[in-house]
Amino acid sequence: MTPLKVKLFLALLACSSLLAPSLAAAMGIRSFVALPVNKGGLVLRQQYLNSPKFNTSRAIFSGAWGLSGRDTLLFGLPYRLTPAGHHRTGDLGFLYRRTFWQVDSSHATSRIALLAGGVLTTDSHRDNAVQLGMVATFYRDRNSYDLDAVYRRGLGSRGDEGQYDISWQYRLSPAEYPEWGFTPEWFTVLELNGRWRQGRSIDHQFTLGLQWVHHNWVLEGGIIRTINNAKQTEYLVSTRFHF
Amino acid sequence: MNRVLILLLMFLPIAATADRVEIDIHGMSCSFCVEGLQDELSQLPDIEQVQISLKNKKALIISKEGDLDLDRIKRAIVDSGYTPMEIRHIDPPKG
Repeated sequence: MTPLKVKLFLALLACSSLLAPSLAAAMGIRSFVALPVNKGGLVLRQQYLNSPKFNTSRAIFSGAWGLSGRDTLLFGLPYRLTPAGHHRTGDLGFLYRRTFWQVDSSHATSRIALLAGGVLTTDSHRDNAVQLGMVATFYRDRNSYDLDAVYRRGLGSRGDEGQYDISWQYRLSPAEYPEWGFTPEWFTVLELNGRWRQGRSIDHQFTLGLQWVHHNWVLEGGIIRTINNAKQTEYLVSTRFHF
Repeated sequence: MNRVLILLLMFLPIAATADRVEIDIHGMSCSFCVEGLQDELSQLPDIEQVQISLKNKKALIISKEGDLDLDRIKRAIVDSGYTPMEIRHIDPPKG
C-alpha cells in the first residue's frame, strides 16, 4: 500500500467516527434517521466495509440508546481490520438527538431532530471535535425519506469535516401488512451521500442497498460508489439488533 | 361461625375478568421501530398480552386481570416515540 493510499484510508477511518453514530437506528443505510428508539431501548449495530481498490476493510460498532420518546444517545467506534498495524481503533463519536418537531398521522410520520455531540480521539496524535447537525425523516405507507446534514468542528489541529445524506427507502415486501403481528420486511435503499474534509473537495457518493427486517433484527448490504474525486466502490454488510 | 365466614367472603378479592382495549397509535412505521413499543408495553405489570397491527396502526392490549391502567399505557406509547389516539374497550371473544 502506497503512503497516499494509507493516508486516504486513515482519513476514511477518521471520517468513520463521524458516520458511525448515524448507523445505529433504522432505517437508512448510511444516513441519520429521526425515528425513535423507545425509552431504555438499545439498538446495536455491527458494520463491515470493504474497499477492494485500496485493499482495506473496517468495522464500525455503533449503538443508539433511547432516553425518551424524543431523546436518543448515539455512539459509534470504527475499527480498522486491514491493513494491520498500530492505531487500529478510530475515534469515539457520540451524538445526542432531540426530536423537536413531530407530526404523526395514521399512515405517516414526519420528524425533525437536532444532533449535537462530539468526537473523542483514541489517539494522542489527534484532537477532539464537536459536531452539530439536523436530521429529518418523512415516512408514508411504503416510502421513507431521511435528510441530514452534520458539521464537525475540529479542535486544536484537527480539521473540520461535514456530511450530508439524502436517503429513500421503499418497502418491497410485504405490499400490505398482516392484520396483526409482524412479518419479515424487505426494503430497497437508495442514497446520495456527501463527505467533506477541510482542505479537500467534497466526495459525493451513491449508495444502493437492500435490507431485511424481522422483528428486532435487521440484515443489510449495500454498494457505495464515489462518483467524483477518487472514484472507488466500497461494499457494506451490516446487522443490527434492537434490545 | 356463619357470620365469620360471611365476613371473610366479603373481604376476599373478587375474581376479576381481563380488560381488553384497542388503542389507535399514530406514527408507527416499520416492525424494527415498533419492536420497542411492543417491549415497552409488554413490560407493564398489569398487561398479559400485546398485539400490534402495523396495517391498522393500533394495539390490542389484554390485562392479566381487572382494569388496565390506561394512563400508564399512554405514557409508555409516548416514551416509545409514538402518539396514542382513541382507546376502545372491547368485549372478549365469545366461545
